[in-house]
Amino acid sequence: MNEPAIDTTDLAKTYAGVRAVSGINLKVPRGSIYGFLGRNGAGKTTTIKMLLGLTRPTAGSACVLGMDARGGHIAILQRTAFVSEKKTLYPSMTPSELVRFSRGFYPTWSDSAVEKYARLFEIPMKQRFEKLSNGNQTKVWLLLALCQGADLMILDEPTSALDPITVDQLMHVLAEDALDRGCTIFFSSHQLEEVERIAEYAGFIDHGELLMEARLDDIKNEFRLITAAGSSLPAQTSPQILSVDVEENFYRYVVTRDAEGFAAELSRNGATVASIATLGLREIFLQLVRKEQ
Amino acid sequence: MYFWKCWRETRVSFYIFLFIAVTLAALLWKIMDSTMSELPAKQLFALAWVILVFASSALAGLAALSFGATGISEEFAHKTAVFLLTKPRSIRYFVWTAWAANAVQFLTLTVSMMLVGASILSWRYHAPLTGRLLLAFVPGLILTSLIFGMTYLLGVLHKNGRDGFLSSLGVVILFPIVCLALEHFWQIHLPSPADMYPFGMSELMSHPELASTLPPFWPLVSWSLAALACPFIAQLVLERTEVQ
Repeated sequence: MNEPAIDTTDLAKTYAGVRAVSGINLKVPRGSIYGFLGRNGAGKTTTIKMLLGLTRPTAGSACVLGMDARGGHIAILQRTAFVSEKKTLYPSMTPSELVRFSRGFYPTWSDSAVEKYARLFEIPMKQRFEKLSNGNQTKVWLLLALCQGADLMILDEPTSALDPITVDQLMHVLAEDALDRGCTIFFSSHQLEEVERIAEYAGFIDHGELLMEARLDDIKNEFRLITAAGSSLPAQTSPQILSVDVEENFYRYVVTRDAEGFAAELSRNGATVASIATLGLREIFLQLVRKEQ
Repeated sequence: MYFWKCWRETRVSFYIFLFIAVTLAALLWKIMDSTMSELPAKQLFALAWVILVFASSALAGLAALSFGATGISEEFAHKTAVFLLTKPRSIRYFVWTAWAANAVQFLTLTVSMMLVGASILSWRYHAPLTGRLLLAFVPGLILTSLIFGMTYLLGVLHKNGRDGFLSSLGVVILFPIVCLALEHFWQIHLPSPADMYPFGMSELMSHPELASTLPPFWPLVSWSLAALACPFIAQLVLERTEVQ
């Protein structure tokens, strides 16, 4: 039971010579909330499709809930809820009919959850899907995923088109209800603030490559912003210095590992260290992507 | 679940075809009664039988195109394939369930149209319904099943039911022309569903009593197998397809 909910080994996908995903190694611990972060086109959706067996990897392998994603994808889907990036469903069906359609596929389906979440998200259950607003269409996808009683929820941009109140409700539901059941939540987003609110682990993907994967607290502890004043201070990036912004005699360094040691080094070189601050997830992500570019 | 969804999406077509069938039957009855009443009853029955066989086949052909064009191909056209194919069932299940749901409607429509038409004619002209007479419907039934299967397969290949419909319609129109041209100019005989019919329509119209002639066995079997091969091929194609 200690094996990861998602475990990929050198998972790669190439479309017509273009690398969409380049040998990524994801480890998503069971019972955790994992934010999979990246820009549009970074490879998040392609990775998710490989996990769900919708797309075949060009190389590497993926294990989901202990089962091989290629051979055991039906067993995986039995225990996995999914919200797609494109929130298209049968246009002529009402949410009630979509519930009726989906219910039969899952032995762990919960009708009481349907009532609960339909009420919470204020979904018009008798209105045709095509007549619903984009936000309500997203809510229907979430409703169907939440009621499955799944062991793993894979949510691809789950908050797109949602208003801030619903985003708040969703985050609460994911952090409380789903985790209480021992469900693992793997969600992709480029809304970093949302991830920061609820995720325990995060992985950054860009241009198909996994830039970093760790516990969110560890990621935050890894990076520091050091502001120093002085002359002739280092102005080049290095493995330790992710970025340097220089304005006259003021230097702003984003550094990894041993920020205190680096600040002491600056002081020894005659600099005045004004502050050593932590960075938000957004800044860390931007720094990592810029470094990669 | 998926069967119900397929039925839900095609039931309007089913009712429309049912309405057309009833209307056509009533019209045919009226025309036959008013224009050919001077013919002897036996000859009139045979002629009405030939017309019924061809009219029901023609309508069934349209139904085959219509029902064949719906199903799993539309999941790709409407971008719902990601939702459907992340349900814990195999591609085989979805391909065959959609095929079966549409086939049940198409065959119900076709067989009931043929049987009800035959029963009415039998009752109207006091002629017994023999097995040999009913066998006259079989080539039409197999031909339209082939059109249904082909439309279904072409829809899957195009990942769009409408394109499948148009391609299939193109094949239905062009294939006989190609066969005739090859036969006429180069004396090459292509295997064709027409081989299931022992006589052409013109021969039957002038000698309607030929309608009770048994259709040839092997063409019936081989074209039935071809009709059944279509969903198999559709399944193989989709199992190798990646959902974008």
